[in-house]
Amino acid sequence: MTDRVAAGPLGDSGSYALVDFVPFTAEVYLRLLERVGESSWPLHLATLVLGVAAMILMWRGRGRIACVLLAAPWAWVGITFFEQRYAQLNWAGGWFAGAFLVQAAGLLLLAAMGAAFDRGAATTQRSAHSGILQQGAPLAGGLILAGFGVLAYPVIGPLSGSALFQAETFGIHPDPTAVATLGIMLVGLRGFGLWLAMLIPLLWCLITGLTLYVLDAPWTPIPLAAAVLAVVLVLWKTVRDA
Amino acid sequence: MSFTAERRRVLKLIAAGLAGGSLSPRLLLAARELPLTKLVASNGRALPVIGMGTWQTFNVGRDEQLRRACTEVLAAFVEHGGGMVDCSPMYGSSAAVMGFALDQLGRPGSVFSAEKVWIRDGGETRRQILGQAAQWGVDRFDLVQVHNLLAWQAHLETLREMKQAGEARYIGITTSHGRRHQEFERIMEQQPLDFVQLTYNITHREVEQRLLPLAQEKGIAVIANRPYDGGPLIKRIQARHQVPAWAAEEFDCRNWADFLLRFIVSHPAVTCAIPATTRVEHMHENMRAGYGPMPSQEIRARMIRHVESL
Repeated sequence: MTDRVAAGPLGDSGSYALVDFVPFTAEVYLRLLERVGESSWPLHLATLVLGVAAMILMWRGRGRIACVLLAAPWAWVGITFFEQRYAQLNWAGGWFAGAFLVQAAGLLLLAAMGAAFDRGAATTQRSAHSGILQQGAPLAGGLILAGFGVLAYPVIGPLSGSALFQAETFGIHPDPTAVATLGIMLVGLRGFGLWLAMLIPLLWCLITGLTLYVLDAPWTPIPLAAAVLAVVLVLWKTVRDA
Repeated sequence: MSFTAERRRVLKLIAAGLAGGSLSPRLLLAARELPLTKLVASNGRALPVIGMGTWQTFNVGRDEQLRRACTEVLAAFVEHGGGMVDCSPMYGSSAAVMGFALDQLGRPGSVFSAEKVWIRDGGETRRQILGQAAQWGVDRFDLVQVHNLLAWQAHLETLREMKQAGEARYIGITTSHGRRHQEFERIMEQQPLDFVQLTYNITHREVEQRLLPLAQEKGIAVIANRPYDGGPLIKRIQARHQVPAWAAEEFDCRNWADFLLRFIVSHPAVTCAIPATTRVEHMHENMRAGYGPMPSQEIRARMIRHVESL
């Protein structure tokens, strides 16, 4: 792309403030969400189905298929959101695109290796209606996070007064994709693999939270709260399994 | 405006010009409808005291709707005889959008193109500047600055060569948010510069102590960035307070844009301020601040006291 922002800086980090890393206004960011939403429609319907399917498959112990399904939206968002559009606005866009593609590759690798999957979650949900209780907070929290990312995230923007196509959708926009992935990973992975699979989604939640903070977006706390909840739950799961 | 009011306005303009202590002797008093200008010491070009920044505001990518909105903002700037437009490679697509807007407006001659070099590799100075020039659609920039002192030694050396070769008219350095002032001062003392750009507004006046006097002493033009402290200053103050009546009486101050911008550009060392906006009505407000009489030294002190009391 000819008008992609050249990879940048930075030199002395003391020469920059948080606001220097957000070189666009809230209006431009909302227009970006809107343009991506408009140009992707009606793909939203398919990505929502895909998100729900990945969540259910992971819960039912079909983690490898779930990871394959999840890899597609990460790659799609990396290319269509970051590489094709966000990179016009921010030199870091290319790096974010790369990170999303790495996450997609990582998910495919997990699926291929079949490692790090938590068989406990699937076993308990099949064996008893109290499965979620037996698995405890990480599973319940994971399902809530995943459900929130896939099903609730699209209504946040419109409820905050944004236009319909500014609604952020799993598989179309990065924030719900990251939040839902955190939840799905919590449901079906464990150990080092779980931490590794959550690293990029967590980092993105932090970056987008700081970006929204600079832009003074009403929903700033949401990705940050999702990241904090995910870290608490993964710690809980790690300690429990130790 | 009535004749009496207009006469009072002209008398204030003259009085402001004679105030001496508060205004640069280089200040030119313009007739009505002409913006107030100051001269760039190194070759005497007159620059309107209100320029425009493009940080965040012109970074809209290829969004046609927002590009047209940016063009309208630039049109308002040009309508008022606006001069300096400041941009940087750090500002994403701003240079390309500026090029688009200039094309739409038929390349207005009043625009003074100010760019920056912002890259760690000191050997890439010329390449980056040429890339930015291609986006603006200009052969050369009026001013090229080293952004945030990044790799400044190497960049300044190349910029001096470019200036000598006629590839840039002026050169300079920038900082913002009050960062690295000691190093900035050393560079101002040791390097030949036409311009410096720094943060100066009514709530951030640290540069009054050393950098602004040094710029005056060395004949370096000064661009004041973040005149509204990035926006929150004027938003906060406008939302809660009226412009004091005495300000209207003393220097025909009509709104907070007048108040805050005239405070900055009435400093004798400051050549221009570069507020940024996405809104045409705000651009008109900003530019009108460059037409009025300027506050005297005493009034400037009163302005500071007033803002601190809010």
